[in-house]
Amino acid sequence: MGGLAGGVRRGVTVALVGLVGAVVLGSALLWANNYVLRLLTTILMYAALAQAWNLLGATGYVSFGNVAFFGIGAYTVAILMTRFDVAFVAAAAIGAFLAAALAVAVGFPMLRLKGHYFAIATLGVAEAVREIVGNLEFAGKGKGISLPVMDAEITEIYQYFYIVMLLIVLGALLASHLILSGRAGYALVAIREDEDAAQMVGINTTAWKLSMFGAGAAINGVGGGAYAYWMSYIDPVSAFNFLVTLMPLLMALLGGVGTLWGPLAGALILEVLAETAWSHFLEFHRTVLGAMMVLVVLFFPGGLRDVIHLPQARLVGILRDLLRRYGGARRWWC
Amino acid sequence: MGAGVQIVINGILIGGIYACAGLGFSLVWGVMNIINIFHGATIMLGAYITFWLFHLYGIDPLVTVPVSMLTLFLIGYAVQRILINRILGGPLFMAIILTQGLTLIAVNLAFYLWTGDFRSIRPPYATWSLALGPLVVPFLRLIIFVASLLLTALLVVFLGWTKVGRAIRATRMDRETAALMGVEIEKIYALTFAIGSAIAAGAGSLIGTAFVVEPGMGDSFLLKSFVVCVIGGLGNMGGALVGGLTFGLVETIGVAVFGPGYKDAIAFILLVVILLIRPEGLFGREYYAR
Amino acid sequence: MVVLEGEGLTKVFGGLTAVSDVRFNVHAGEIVGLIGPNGAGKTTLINMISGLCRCDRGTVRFRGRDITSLRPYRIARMGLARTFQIVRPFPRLTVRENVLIGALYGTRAYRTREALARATEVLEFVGLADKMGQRVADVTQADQKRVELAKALATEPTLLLLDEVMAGLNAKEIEDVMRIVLRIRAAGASILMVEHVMKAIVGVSDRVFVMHQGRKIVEGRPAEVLADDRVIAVYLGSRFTKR
Repeated sequence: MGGLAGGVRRGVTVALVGLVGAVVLGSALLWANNYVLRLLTTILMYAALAQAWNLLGATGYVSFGNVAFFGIGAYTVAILMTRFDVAFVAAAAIGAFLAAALAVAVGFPMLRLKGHYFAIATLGVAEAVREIVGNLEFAGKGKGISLPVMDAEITEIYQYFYIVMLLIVLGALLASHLILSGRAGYALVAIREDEDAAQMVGINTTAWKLSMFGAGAAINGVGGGAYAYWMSYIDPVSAFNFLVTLMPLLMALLGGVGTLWGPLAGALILEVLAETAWSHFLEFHRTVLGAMMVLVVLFFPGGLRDVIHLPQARLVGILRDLLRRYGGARRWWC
Repeated sequence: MGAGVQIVINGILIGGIYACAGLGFSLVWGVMNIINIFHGATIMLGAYITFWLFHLYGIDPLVTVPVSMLTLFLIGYAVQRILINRILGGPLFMAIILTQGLTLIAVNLAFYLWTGDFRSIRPPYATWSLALGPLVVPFLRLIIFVASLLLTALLVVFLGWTKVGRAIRATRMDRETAALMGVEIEKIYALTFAIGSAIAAGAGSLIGTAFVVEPGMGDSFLLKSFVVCVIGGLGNMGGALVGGLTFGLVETIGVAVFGPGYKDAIAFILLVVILLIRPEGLFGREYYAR
Repeated sequence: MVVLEGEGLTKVFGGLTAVSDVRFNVHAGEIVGLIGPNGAGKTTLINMISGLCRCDRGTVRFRGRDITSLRPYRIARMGLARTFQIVRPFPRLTVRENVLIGALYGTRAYRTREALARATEVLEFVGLADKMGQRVADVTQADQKRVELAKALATEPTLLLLDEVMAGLNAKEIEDVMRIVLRIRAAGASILMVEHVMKAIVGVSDRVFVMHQGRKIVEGRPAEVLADDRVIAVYLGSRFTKR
């Protein structure tokens, strides 16, 4: 948050970074090859999903089921495009709507749950939705659905989806900006800090939580729809992949929950790392991913702010602590 | 009639395994307010230990149970002492992410070392069964059921009648007061996690003899543990048992009614519904109101 | 004119009747004290009025409207604010942000910039202007109590429920808060205050009622009430009543 008097200097820095980012992303169509374009598209997708998670995350509620809405969007687009010849953009809009509707329907009772109970309930919803979709005849059961492949050159297809994801991210960014930087941001932070006390100063906590959950679900729905068309094939395993819940969560956490740019930065860093892991340690890429999660939690629990504040000091501190505790003459198991 | 009773028997037998699988998870959640995602990987590792001991040396699966329990006890102790204890007091979901990271590592390594092949443990008595008129009780399932109950009983006795067990229960009820009474919280936490891991590993060994063993097997049992724990109430050992049996019955009956495709859907819908109507569990009390 | 009135208010927790058939009212511009030993049901009554816990029986009317089953945020927006006995500020926000949130959402009349000015005014009113930029978690307990009060005031209440705002303060701080309370009344608000500090009750309230074991047992002017045998019995035991 930083407060309203957050400092002009920080504003200038952010604007500069934003400008450079915009130039790089805007010109990518000119300089990037297909591989880079695909990587950028993936980063953008995760950036949008991380922003989506971050909306409810700002209230302190941790959803472990966002992939449910991603999957609903993906399946809506797949079914509408293959069976009803609906255009992609319209299908994605409907997917977003359905995802948000589901979020509001399940969120209304579930957002009364606190802490771990809410997290597990959302996880349960995601798994239940996957199981149900995997059993539906018109959703292709476990076999999945093949979508129409765009009739264009391969490079054009890459460019198309790059632009689509870029637009989704910009939309999510605009929405996040309006929500987090305005008076709404204070309501969300108040809910995070103390929900009862927030009610006592007139904040309609239920409405805020529900609308954030719904807005996040809508972004997930659009993202999932774009993903389905992009991959041109989905099945329950890929459309409801738990990593699609986990990675955005981790990205938002790394970047700073409740901040505007944090999820974007987190998505950039983690996806580049994940891609590096994927290409260099194919067999161990999940190990690398897991190690990344452990390291983030242990060393940068406050997100990138911790990275900037001399992580090596923290590292040294932890190592010294470990040595003192386990390296000395004391029996280590005591 | 006979078919109905058979379904109930199958449900109870499978429920015993679920109870055992959920037990350690419930203990860790109840005492430390941690959702231990690594629980699934612990079950998987326990199953692999039994598989290899049986496969390489022909050791009876039931004999291997203490071995896998001890191994994972040590691993669990180290994980809590070195890693998780560091992040307690931070946001709730930090532990979830940490243990999820460990899970990815463990599953990846298991896949690398032992491949993704589906393995099964078939002791000579795997095909035996008891016939009671029209009803069939698979011998192995019965053994596993009894062993699960024994493990549960062991834990209940341990928590109720030993000094460490009392310290664990005291810590669960009020960490600060327990600390003032001289309980070393960090050590008790590590022990609790180690015991939870040991029980999970024992459950894994038993599960391995009844189901296929593969690196990803933990996921499904982790989710089943959620359900057991939510039905039974947190940190409530008797509740976990009742939760496991209830869940086993509901799942078996649900499959008989709706077909096997909805097996997991039933579990998750049950999970969500119970969370909504009684978040403290059907049989439980809340220890942490957070 | 009656601003707030409760009738037949009852709340049962499990087998324990925390509040039993309580009837009370607060007039416009009045400061009413609510006293009673620990466990008498005072805080439960405050929770019932402010909507934080549901009434099992009875009704609460605020400015003529039945607010019994309303959600807390609606009650707050109607102009009924409260403080918590154990302060519940937004700890990681600054003092001013805490109060700003009250001004933004309690009235919904201000744009952010206006609300910020309003928050500053309220903080000056309670004497916290020099600590505006500090995180609430970093200020003293006494100051946190004032933040709690300022947060409630920023919602511009017609009626303020104060739940032991003076507990834990020293003599000078108590006098400061008493002065603030009187100034709040002078600004036009009515106050219902739960308090153990008798000096404060006698010093500022126009009327007092006493609760014991969930029931209202005595009501009247402060001096009369404190001299009442039943009240003395409740606080000190019946040994002290007839001398």
